[in-house]
Amino acid sequence: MKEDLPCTLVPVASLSGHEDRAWGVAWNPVKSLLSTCSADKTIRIYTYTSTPSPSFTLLASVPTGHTKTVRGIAWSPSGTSLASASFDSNIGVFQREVDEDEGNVGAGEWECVSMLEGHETECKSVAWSAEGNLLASCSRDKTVWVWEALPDGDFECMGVLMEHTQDVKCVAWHPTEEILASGSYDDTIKLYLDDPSEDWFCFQTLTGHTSTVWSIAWSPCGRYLASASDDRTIRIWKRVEEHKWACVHVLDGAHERTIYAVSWGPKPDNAGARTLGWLASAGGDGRINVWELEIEEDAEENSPPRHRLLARLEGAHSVSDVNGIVWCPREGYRSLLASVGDDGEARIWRISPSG
Amino acid sequence: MEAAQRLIQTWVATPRDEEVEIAASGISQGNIKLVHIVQGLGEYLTSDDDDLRNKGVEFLAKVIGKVPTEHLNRQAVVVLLSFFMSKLEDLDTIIPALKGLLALSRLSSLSDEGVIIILNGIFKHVKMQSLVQAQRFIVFSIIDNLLAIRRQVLKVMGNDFITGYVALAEGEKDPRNLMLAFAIDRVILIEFDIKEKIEDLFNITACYFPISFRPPPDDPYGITADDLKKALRSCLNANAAFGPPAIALFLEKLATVAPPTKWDALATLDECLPVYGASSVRNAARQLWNALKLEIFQPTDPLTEEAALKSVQVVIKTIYSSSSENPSQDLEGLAKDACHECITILKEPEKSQAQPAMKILCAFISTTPSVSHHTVSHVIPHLIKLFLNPDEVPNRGASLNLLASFIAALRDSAIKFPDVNASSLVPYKDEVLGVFTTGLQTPSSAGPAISGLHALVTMAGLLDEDEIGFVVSNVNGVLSNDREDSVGVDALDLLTTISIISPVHVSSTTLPLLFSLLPDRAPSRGDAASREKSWSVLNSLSRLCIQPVLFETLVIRLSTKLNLLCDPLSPPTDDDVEPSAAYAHAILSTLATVLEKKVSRGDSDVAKYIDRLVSGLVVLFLGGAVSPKDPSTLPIADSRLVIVAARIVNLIAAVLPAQKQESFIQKLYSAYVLGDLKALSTSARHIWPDGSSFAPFERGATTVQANTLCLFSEALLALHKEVRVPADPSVFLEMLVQFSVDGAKALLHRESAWHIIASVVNKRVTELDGFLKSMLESFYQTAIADASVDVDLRRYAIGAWAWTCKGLLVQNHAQTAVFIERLIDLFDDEAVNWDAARAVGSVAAQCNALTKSNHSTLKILHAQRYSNSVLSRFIEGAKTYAGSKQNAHLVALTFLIRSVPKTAYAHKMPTAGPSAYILLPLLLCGLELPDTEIRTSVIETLLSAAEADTATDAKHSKEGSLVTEHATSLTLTMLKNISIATVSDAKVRIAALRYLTILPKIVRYDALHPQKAIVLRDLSKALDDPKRAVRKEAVDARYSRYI
Amino acid sequence: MSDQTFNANPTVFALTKSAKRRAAKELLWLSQSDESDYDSGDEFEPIDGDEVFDLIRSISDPEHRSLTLEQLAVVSAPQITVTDQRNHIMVEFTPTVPHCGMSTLIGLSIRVRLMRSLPARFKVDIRVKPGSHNSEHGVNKQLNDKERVAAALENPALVEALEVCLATASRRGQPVEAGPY
Repeated sequence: MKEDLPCTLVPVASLSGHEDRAWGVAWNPVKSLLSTCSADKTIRIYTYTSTPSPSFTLLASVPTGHTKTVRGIAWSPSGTSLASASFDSNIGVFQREVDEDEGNVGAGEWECVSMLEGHETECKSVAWSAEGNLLASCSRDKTVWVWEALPDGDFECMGVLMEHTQDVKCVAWHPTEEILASGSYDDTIKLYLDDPSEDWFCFQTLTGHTSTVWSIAWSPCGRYLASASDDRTIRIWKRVEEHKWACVHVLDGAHERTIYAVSWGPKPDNAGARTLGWLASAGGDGRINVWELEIEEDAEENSPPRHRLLARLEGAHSVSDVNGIVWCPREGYRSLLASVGDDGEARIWRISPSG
Repeated sequence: MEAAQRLIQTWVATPRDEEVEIAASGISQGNIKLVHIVQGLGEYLTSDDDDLRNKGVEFLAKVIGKVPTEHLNRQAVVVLLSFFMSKLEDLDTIIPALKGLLALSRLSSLSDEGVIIILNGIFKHVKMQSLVQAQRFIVFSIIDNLLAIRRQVLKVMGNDFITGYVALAEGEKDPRNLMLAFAIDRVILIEFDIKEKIEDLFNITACYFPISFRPPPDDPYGITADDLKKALRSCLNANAAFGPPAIALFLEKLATVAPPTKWDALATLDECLPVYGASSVRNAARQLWNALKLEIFQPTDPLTEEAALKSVQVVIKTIYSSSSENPSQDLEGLAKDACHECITILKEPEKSQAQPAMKILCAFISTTPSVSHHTVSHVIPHLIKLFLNPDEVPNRGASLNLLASFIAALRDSAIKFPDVNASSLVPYKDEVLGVFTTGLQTPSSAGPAISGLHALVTMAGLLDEDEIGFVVSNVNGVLSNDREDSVGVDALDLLTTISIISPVHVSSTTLPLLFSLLPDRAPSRGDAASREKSWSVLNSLSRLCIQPVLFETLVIRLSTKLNLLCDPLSPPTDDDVEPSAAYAHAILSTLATVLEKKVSRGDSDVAKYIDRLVSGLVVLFLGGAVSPKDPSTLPIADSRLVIVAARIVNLIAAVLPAQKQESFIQKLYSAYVLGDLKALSTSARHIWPDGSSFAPFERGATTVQANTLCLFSEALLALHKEVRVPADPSVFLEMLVQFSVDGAKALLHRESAWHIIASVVNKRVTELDGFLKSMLESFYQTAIADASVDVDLRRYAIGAWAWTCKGLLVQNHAQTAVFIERLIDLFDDEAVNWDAARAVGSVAAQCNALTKSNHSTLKILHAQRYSNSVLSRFIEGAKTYAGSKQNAHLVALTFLIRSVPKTAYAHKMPTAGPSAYILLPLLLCGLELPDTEIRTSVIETLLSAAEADTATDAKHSKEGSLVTEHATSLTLTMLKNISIATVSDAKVRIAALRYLTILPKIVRYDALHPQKAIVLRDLSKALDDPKRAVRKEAVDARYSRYI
Repeated sequence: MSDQTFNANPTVFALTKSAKRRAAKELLWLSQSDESDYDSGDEFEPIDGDEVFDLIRSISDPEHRSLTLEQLAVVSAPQITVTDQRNHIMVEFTPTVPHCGMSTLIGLSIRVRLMRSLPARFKVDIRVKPGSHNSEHGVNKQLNDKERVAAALENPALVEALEVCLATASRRGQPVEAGPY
């Protein structure tokens, strides 16, 4: 069925090279770098030219030293460190060897500056806090760990959160405050705070999904949270009190199989005042959906944001599942979307008006 | 004296055998005295230099070893003995001293006292731990010698000897010494009085059980683990007194060790228990049973299970055969309990444990009469009761299955104890027959029921005629409601078996039933169901009607149907003739199939069907061909029918005696060549339409008439050499050649002619000088070589030429080479070189025209001989030439390889020798040729080579398979041939995939690993092939890369 | 795997005959060659339930290595649904006992066999027969969580156990060579 939608996703680049399923993709928030991770235990780092039609070139294929699948990756806000979560139950942190002549993009090996051990089984996701001083990781061992990044590139465990009753699939930090969210195989989402006197603690459990929560994404403004699940729905949660979020909407029927990823992009370049940014989702049906969300005029407490489907793409990675999807956060590149799939490829799309 | 002195001095200086020899012969000739040597040694023997003392004794020992025994009289021996004994005490001379004693131990002149002195000396002074293997071997050898020739003395020594020996043997580790020690042990265990020494002797033998010895790769003595195991067993089973401790040991080991040691343990058990005797075994019966049971109910592997079952039998036999009880009296003890235990498990026949339980009960049957009788009389009633129990209806299949296998076992062991088993079943015969026939009625139990009946029927002298009749009529029921599953087939096999024992029932009840299921008219095009049905009935008949009586009925009934179907005067009602043709074809095929079976069995009744079947068929087809109404509208117009008919004609004609063939071929000849059909009239009845003209060889002959040529051809092929065709062979063949080139309209007609040519050339070559001459001189030039001739005609001419070659080649005729040369000359001629190459390549191929059964002149190894004459040449050509000429050589090569037995080119193939690489690269080129037939044949050639490699397990051989070098290119080339996108022919894709599957079995992992990723990726595409059969191969190919 | 036994003496079922397929165009002529199953024209033979069943029927049961999933009626042709056009396959299996601790391993072996044997375009769902297992929901959820499956396949011990079960899969319903008796 060909529905006429306002926008379409235009292929920009298709990056192959992983020898096995690609699990994760991340844009560097400051430099023109894109990285992907895969079951082949490597991380590939690409550099790209400027818009309108950026071209991508491989900068490095990092062996990582992980002995099993690299499941998730995340760039630090400063864009200097790349963290990795691996099935070998370790968290890796990689940095570019400092070398004299900057500007030369090609220069400098990517080396593992620290391996964080502590999780008992497969790690599935990592995330840096807004300030970049905290790193969160989660694992099949049902725990979420919060690490503090110390100046000398060292990390210290600030807390081990054992709230979930099953694997923790994903973690995500609030864009401005030190609030951490985690989604789990136990179908719930948990929100955590650091109690200055005490320790890290869970201040709310969001229930509603009827199966595994695979991915969560905060809205850039921080008032909303989107979660994607094996129940084939996306739920929009809204901040109704200082420390209380409530489900205000369920996007249903947008996918036919498990939804593995959601990404909530920052306010698009040249976007209207009321816009909350674009929400992209992808999953086992190989489909990518993009919604535009806007604040409802004089809406009362827990009314949902206005949303409309901007674009839909079938078979984004031909017959393969799409495992990860991310909006480019960088000024001037915000119409770019990166996806990775079971075919081991990373694909770059631009959303642009139809016709 | 001096002589001795000199010898000693020189030897001590530089020890060489020479001096030893001289000394030895000197002594035997008497010109050197032993005493002199002893005296001469004096100074050395007393020397403080250890080495000198050692040398001194060594010399004497060596000399003694060389001197023939008769030259050492009693007191010489006494002297030597005391001498060597005295040296035993000295650590530095003990070794040579032992050597000396070894020499003495062989001497008959050694006195009994001497024997005792030696042994006590050894027992006293020799510390085995301080000696090396070779030296300990000397000690064992001394004892072995004495045990062999002085056994009595040793027996008199009794416990002193045993104690002494045990001390020596204790802790021996070396396999070579152990072999000797075990031999000694066995003698002691069997012949000596060991009452008080049992424990010691058990310890020095049983401590080695079970043998877990792996011979070193470069073992000089070549002693295998098996040698040791056997030797040890021969000790363990040497004395019944070992019973209790040994059984305990076996049980302990059984529980702990894994195969193959476990198999050794069980085998040892089997050999020992009978020796240990009933009482020992009875005492351990429970433990033994529990141990063995475990191996059967949770088998680690089939072999262990089998071994354990055998051991169970041994246990039972040992316990029960001793007591010669009469079967009737009731059984006590293990057998009873075990039997009961298994039967209890059978209460759930559908469960997995029922199988092993039944295996055990089957094993019980072949133990002792009493046990067997007990088992039978409990198992059978139990299973029957189970079957009849209304609550157990769902499990009827399972319980019949068990009953069937039990009775099969009973039948098999009936050969062992005819008296017991046959009779023991009699009381239950009717009930068993009853449950099986009942079982036939329901699909779920029909299969087991049939195999059960099979067992009953094949049990000699169990069922009488009426009962067999009863079985048949019940099985007929299964046939009539034809079934998807294999039951139908099994039922037929059963009836076939019965038809051998007593055909009457089958012919009187089964056949009528089957024929009644065959329609007279063909099922209409749309009616696939009835067609299916009639096929399965025909299939049944073809399996069933081998026996003469049955076959006779078959021929009569099917001929009738044929005539009905194909009768020109009563054609099928609707104008769609094809279904009738197809049905007739199916009927003909059935007759052909059965005939093939009968011929291969050498049945004598085949010949008579020349009148009862063949002549009928000839009339049917020729009659149709000349029928006044348009023959092309008749079923017989379809060439597929006449081809099968021709096969029948050939099968029957071939078994005829010469004179019968002669008269038969006369008639055919007059019909086919002279157009005189009357000759073929079987009866006075006027069968041929008036004015019908039959001239199949005429240029204007109708296709239907020309089709019938293959009947003529197949008949001619079958002729004995001495049977002549009523014509000048040369003229006849020239006619055929001409016909095949420009007369014939279809391949079928051409081939009919070509086959005749090949056959006549083969059998009558001596009368064909004229023909061969004209072929070589005129025909080749005008019809083949002349490029101005229409290319198709040239191709046909090449065909005629090739078949002439065939006729010559298979008899290694001198002219063959000339004919082949002319074809090879054509390799330069782009227009026909591909055809010529094909012809040269496949000329030596097996064909149905020239065969032993067709009485052709076949020289052994003619194919090898031929390929030797051309192979290297094709290889050269394929390597040196380019373009179309190279292809021609390549084509010839691939077809040659395809058509001759592997041995003919093996020396040039991978798997054989250094010349392996000559062929492989060329074959790879062959895979690049467009012709799919060639590619298939190349791949299949490679496949057969690969299979040979797996057979010899080349992968793990030192040099590995010879394709290893080419693994990469082979893999990549095959990958090119698996994709539907590039290769439309499924055969090629399948062959290529099969090769990819087998490659990892013959090539080491490291050679393939580099391409693993590509291979898996490309194969995953093949997983989506439109053809199911291709997908299947792709799956297997992929799997072979995961392991 | 744990040495605990879940069903020491399971019911054994007879092997069913492989589905025999007629060519799409109905046959009029009795063909002699047995190879006529391929090369019979170019007509497309879609993947169907029977074909998928052939792939998994002969996987060995992890608890009774000598028995196949078919013999224990853990899998059967009717329990497989293939929608070739929509690239979807649903495989349902039936544990021999509701407390069978091997169910996950069985399901995993089925998934791996199909992962290796089916075109990539197929999405496969595997689940235990409703009501046939105590922790039905848990088993199903685990078998269809591709992340867990992926992790499992990086666990050497588990893979070893799997390969043993899969080694017999290529028999496709053919019985093993008959034993000694």
